[in-house]
Order: sequence, then C-alpha cells, then structure tokens
Amino acid sequence: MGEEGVALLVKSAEEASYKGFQLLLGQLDRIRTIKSKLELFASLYQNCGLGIIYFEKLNPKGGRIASVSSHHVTGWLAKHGRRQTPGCHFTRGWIAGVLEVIYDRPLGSYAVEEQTCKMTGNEKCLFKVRER
Amino acid sequence: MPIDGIKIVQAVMEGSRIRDAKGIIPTFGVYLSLFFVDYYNQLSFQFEKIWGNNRREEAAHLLVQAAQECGYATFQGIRNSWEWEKLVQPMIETHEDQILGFTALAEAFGWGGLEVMELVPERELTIKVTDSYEATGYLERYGQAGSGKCYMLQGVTAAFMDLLYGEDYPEGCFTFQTVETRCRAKGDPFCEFLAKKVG
Repeated sequence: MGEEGVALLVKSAEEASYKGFQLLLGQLDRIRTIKSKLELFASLYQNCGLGIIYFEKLNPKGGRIASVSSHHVTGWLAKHGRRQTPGCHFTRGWIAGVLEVIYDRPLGSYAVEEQTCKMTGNEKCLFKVRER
Repeated sequence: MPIDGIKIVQAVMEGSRIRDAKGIIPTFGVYLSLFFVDYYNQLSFQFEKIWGNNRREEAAHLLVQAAQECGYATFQGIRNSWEWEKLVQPMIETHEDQILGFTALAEAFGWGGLEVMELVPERELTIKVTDSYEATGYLERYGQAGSGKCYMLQGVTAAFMDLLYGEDYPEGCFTFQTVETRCRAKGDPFCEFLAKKVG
C-alpha cells in the first residue's frame, strides 16, 4: 500500500487519540494550563507502555518533539532490524491528536513529520509539527 | 488442578503496572501497550474499505493472517516466559490445558470474554467470545455487517491451535484456519470461532 498505508496508520492513531483524549481531558477540569496538559500526556505515553516522549519546543503553530524510547521502535528492531526510512507512524498520529486536543483545534489541524528515527539508527526519534 | 483464569488475569494486571526505565511494559515475555481500541478498529475496517468491494475478502484474509502470525509469535513468547513457568505451568495437567491459559491471558489483554466451547485434540477448537471489541467497533461505526468482522480473534484462535498441534515453532504457523461462525456485528448474540486443520 506504500504511502497510502502509512497515511492510514497515522490517521487512525490521530483520530483515536483525538477522540479518546478529548473525552479524558473533559473529565479533568483541574488540569488547565498548557504546561500541565503537556506533562499529563507525556506521563500517559509512558504509563501506557508506549515509551518516553519530550515535548521540547511547542506553541499553537507547531514545534518539536523527541522520543528516546518507544514501544514501536523496540518491537520493529526486534523483529525486522534497521530500516531505511522513519517508521514511527503511530507516534506521528498520536502527537497530532494530542496537540489538537491541547490547543483546542479541529481534527486534522497538525501535520507531524518524523525527521530522525531510531529504527534507521539515529539516537532518538525527532518529530516536527506544523499547522496544516 | 484446573486452570484458574482469575489468577492469570490478576497476574497480568499486576505485571502491567511495571514500567521499565524506557517506558516499556515487559510482562509474560512480551511488550504490552495500552491504547484506545478505536485505533485498531479504524485501521482494520478502513484497510478493508480501501481495498474495495471486489477485494474485500482478500483484505479480510490478510488481516486474519496478520493476527494469526502475531498471535503465534506472541503466545509462543508468553508460554516461554518466567511468569508462565511460575504461574500457569503448575496448573497445566494436559497438553490441551494450555488453551485455557491462552484464553485467560487474552481476556486480561481486553480482547473480550473468551470461553472454550469444544476442543478436539489435533483437529478443531471452538471459542465463544462475548464483548469482542471488533464487533462492537464495527456496529458503532457502520451498523450491522453482512459477515463476521472479528479478524484479530479469528487469527488468534487458529494461532492457539498452531502452537499446540502445528510443527515446532516457528514452522507451525497457518496449520489451522478459522471461520467466524457467529458474530455480534452481523446480529448474532455472541461471536464464535471454529478453527480447523487446513487440508
């Protein structure tokens, strides 16, 4: 399926995280600031066994996010070894959905590109976010 | 000693609280993660849709094969784990008891309420599942289906039999094949899976 398959993986993760986290955040009315929401989602990523994620530099227009460890990277490398292209499609979607919830934007507002990926041998996965 | 499913579910719950320094959940020899089932449902059902009406069966077959291969490797990892050795192995009296250990673990993973209805050694396995998230997800998204929609559970049912009666790992995958004889997504009261030896 090539690019169509990648787009399906990203979109599915984005929609699921957008809908799920919108409901969750709606129940946590004491978490109000952007900073505390970002902390919450970084903790959730780790608590759900997805790995470790750092929201390094962000504003409503976009920014940069890093992951030094990931469930999907660990699984991919164990089964397939290194790949030639970045492969954290799930995390791209997860990030887009989370930021749309945090900045109160509609679904599909953010595009997330993976600039470096541990699956290709880099030290960490780096994601660049921009408004669509 | 019968297989104590509740004990196994509790052990998975306990184990899934552990996070290593990398934010990974290593338990029962595999890495677990928690996420909304909507993700898997959208992925499967949109995948099927992208392939179009003419190739729907082919798409469904690929989804089942992926689940079978994944289930085969995952439960092989599980039954070789120290948790299985310590907790489940002492309860196992017959070769077939392993299936009850597998189904208890599948329940703990949130795949539904699994009940083994019939097991004919070497030949067939029938599993009844209440609350399959795939059937629920399909109904919520698209309404009633014309065919069974629980692709993951179809693959996993066959994988259980592959592990018990197929050739030694990793040669035994796809020895069995499953038909979803009933599915809530098409109006049945529960989902039912019948795995039979191929050929």
